[in-house]
Amino acid sequence: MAFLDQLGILAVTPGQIVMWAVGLTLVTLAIRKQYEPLLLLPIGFGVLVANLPLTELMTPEEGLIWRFYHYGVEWEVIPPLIFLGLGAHTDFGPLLSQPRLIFLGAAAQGGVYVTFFAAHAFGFTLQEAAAIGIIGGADGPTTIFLAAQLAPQLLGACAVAAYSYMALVPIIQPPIMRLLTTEQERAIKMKKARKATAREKLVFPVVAAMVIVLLVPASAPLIVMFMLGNLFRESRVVDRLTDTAQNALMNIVTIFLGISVGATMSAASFLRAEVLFIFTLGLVAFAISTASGVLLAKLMNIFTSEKINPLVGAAGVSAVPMAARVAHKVGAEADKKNYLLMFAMGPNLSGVIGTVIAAGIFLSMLQ
Amino acid sequence: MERASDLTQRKAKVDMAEDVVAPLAGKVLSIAVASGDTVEEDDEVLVLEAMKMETVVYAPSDGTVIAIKVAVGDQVEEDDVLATLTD
Amino acid sequence: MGRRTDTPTYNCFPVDAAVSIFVNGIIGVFAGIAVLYVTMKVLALTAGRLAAGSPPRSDKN
Repeated sequence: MAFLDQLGILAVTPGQIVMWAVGLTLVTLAIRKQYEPLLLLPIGFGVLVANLPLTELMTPEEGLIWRFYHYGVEWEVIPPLIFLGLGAHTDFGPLLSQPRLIFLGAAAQGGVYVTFFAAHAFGFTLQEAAAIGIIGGADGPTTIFLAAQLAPQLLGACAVAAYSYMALVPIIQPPIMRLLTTEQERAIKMKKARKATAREKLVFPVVAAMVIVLLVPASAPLIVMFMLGNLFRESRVVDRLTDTAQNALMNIVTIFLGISVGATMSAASFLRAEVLFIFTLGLVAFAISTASGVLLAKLMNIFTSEKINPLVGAAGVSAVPMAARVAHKVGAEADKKNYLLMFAMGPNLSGVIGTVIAAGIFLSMLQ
Repeated sequence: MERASDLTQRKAKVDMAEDVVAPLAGKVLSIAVASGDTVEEDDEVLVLEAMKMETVVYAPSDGTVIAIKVAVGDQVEEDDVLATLTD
Repeated sequence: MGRRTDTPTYNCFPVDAAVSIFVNGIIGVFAGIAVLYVTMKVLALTAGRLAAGSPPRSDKN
């Protein structure tokens, strides 16, 4: 009766059944609501199959998905490759034409640090607290990159929290933005900036990579690939590489990232009270980051004659370009001829850079 | 001679006309007005798509549409003239 | 499964370390962004205006 002994169904635990529900919920959200489907769909499926008994998919040294995870995520290969693709997609023009808005992207990292502090006070280790805090940066690959190195046992929960909240940006952010601003502030029309020149856009990725790495060397894997992708784009001589980085390569690594992040969520690691904490703290991080971006914009308005619409501060959380779209939409509610999208892209992009710097600082102090 | 009158004519036209310019770069998704239509300030002129989001462009003033400079599917840059209105 | 370590979830650092990371982190992020700001300003002055073919605009910022 060796066959009967091998029957998977006899080895199912109640925890695994709960995880099937979690996985199927993520798959459903991805399909029905289109919440970050490119990631939540493979993640959800990964959760489901990792909790089928006796498959050994995640058995170290043997399992198929374990190999994806080990060589892709643990070896820190996939998140930087995603950044390569993001760089190839990014037009730094809106940031270069409004340099002062870059500070809003720094302010929006406030949630990262407040949450880090709070998580540590709740009893998480410093490493775990850092992985939870970085959720507030609203950047999926950076969260995965940091969690894989500092707190791999929380990777799945942190990644799912980050991607879920990024999908929920249009629901989470507007109430906070409205609470902190007046109708007049939301209606502020920002002065059109000059356009950044092609030469500025070309030089920026090279100089920015050097400057940031010289300052925070630990952020190098992400920032270097990000700027390389951007250099591909702005150089305009390697369209084939730009195209591959943007599309084919990005899609390939997204598949491996999704399934392996999902598969880290075994019943034993996910069904714990801590995970509820992570989701709660992640939400708090998001809210504080939104608020601190808005508040810095209001502070800057005290000292400047060319007013900033504080809504663009909320775009400092790096969810690109959802957060910028949200700023645009909330601005258009106050005045339908207020077009904030391109102004909000500046803080949005600097938010990505800010989150990477924050992750680099965590790494250099905690590893 | 011909040139000069052409220029003055064009200048007069420009003085009376108001351009509808693109508030941001994007693709023209739909056009709500046709040449000859009368519009009021804040009426919808056309819809642009930027960052996978629809952005409505409104008429800057009351007037009559004398020219539409773009077609559905066109890619426009910020500040491109989309249509011209006259009082 | 597939995890390198089983880090226990209790405090193994004094709170001081958290404060230090908190302060260093916030200062570090703002310092990094400030340096980028200066970089962009320099870029605007060098590559931003001299580049041929760019229409003169009011680039007070």
